[in-house]
Amino acid sequence: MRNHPSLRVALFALLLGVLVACGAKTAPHITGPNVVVMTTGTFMTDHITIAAGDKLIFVNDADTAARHILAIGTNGDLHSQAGAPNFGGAAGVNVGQGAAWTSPAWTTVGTYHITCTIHPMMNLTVTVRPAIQPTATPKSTLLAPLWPLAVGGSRAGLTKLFGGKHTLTGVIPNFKGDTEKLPRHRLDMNLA
Amino acid sequence: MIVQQSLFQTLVALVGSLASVTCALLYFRRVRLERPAIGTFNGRDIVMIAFFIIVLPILYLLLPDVVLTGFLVVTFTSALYIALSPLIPARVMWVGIVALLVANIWITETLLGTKAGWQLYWSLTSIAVLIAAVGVSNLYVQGGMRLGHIAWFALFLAGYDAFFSMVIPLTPKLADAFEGRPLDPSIGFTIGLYNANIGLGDLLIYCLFAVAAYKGFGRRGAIAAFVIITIFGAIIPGMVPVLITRFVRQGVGIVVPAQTFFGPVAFATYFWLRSFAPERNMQQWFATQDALGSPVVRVRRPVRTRPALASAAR
Repeated sequence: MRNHPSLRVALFALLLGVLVACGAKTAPHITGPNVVVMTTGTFMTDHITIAAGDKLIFVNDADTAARHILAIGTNGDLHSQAGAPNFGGAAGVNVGQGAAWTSPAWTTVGTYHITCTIHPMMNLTVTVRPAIQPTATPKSTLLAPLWPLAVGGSRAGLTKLFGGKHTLTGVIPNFKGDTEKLPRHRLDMNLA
Repeated sequence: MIVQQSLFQTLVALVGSLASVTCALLYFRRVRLERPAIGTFNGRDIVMIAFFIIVLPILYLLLPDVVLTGFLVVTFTSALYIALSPLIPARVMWVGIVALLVANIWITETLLGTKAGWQLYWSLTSIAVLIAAVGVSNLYVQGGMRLGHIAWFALFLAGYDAFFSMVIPLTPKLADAFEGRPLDPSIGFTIGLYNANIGLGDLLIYCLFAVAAYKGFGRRGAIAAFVIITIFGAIIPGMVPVLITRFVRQGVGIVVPAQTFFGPVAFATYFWLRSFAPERNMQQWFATQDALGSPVVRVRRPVRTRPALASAAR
């Protein structure tokens, strides 16, 4: 059998190409108020506040080669906390390079701690506050663009929107679902 | 915090490297490995190894997790087989190798959410890496690799390690990529906030240097190797982040190009040792050992007889 060096080189290049293609990692583009980005050895924030019932999305930066094993606890060690959602128990949650993981809903109000067992100095505090549902919603979504004006404006405007007397005692998200854009304390008012 | 982390890194590097080197020397004194039928090591082989050292880390970073784990399983199986086959009966050895590797993978998948799980993981991984370093370094040196080869190789690695740590950060990326995966090729441990390890590549160079120095120059070579490995292979690389903050990566730990410190000293030590006497080769070493009547363990091969011949012999 004759030797075909060029064929061997081509096969090697093909194998290399397949391996590279298999290994290609893409970055998830996830943004939002409940997203926690992780880089090589840090959470991009050390504290986050969410409402009961919310989920957290952990995104591992694709530009680093590091993975993270998340657990309920501090300083790289598991410390179970009553009311915390399931983080995989003793196995933790393994978030590979460029991957994202969505936690189960945080249903119990309280303060919790999350750590990475690979990088013990990665610590995140999660504060879960009560979820307060609005007792009234606008009659029609067509009026949605007017809603911030009404809140910042007159009682009459709100009365028109809701079609009568209503008591607003909680947090109302704006119409993009982004609660951060409207300061909550301004909505904590009694319209009656 | 950096001081404590550096002290812990130094301790882990010292224990890891000195344990590996001591075991490699004891192994070399007692065990005769079967030489592979590939001739004697020469300069061209060193160039080939250098080529693979450059290419493999890049491949490691590109390989999918499952393929990389498979690759590591094959590599560790081969290295453990090389080291253990002269010492343990085949059946016991294979059960032990499979148990060690399977336990490592299982712990990685189920217990790394806890500190105790990490400590168990590092204990098992360190045992596998130590045996691998002892076996492979002995295979190379007993296969004919000389201290001169290793000195040049260490000098090459000094440049390689500096370049791929500080100019193109390939080594830190590789260290990051192995963490939390099965069979991280390192000896390491974790306590509290601290996590430290020393890679198989560094350990292999230390074992190669010590065994070849002992083979080539006797007790003087071994002592010189121990001294430079302790100072330039473990203590200085471990403590240098206290002085050079460049090696400290916030929240991640420390990645120090250890060969950058060890390589030039190893190279100089080779020439220093050679100034006393010419380097002994393996044949001369065997002759010395035979003259002393030192007991050795050799690879046991089962003797197979054909049934027909066996019955005819009865």
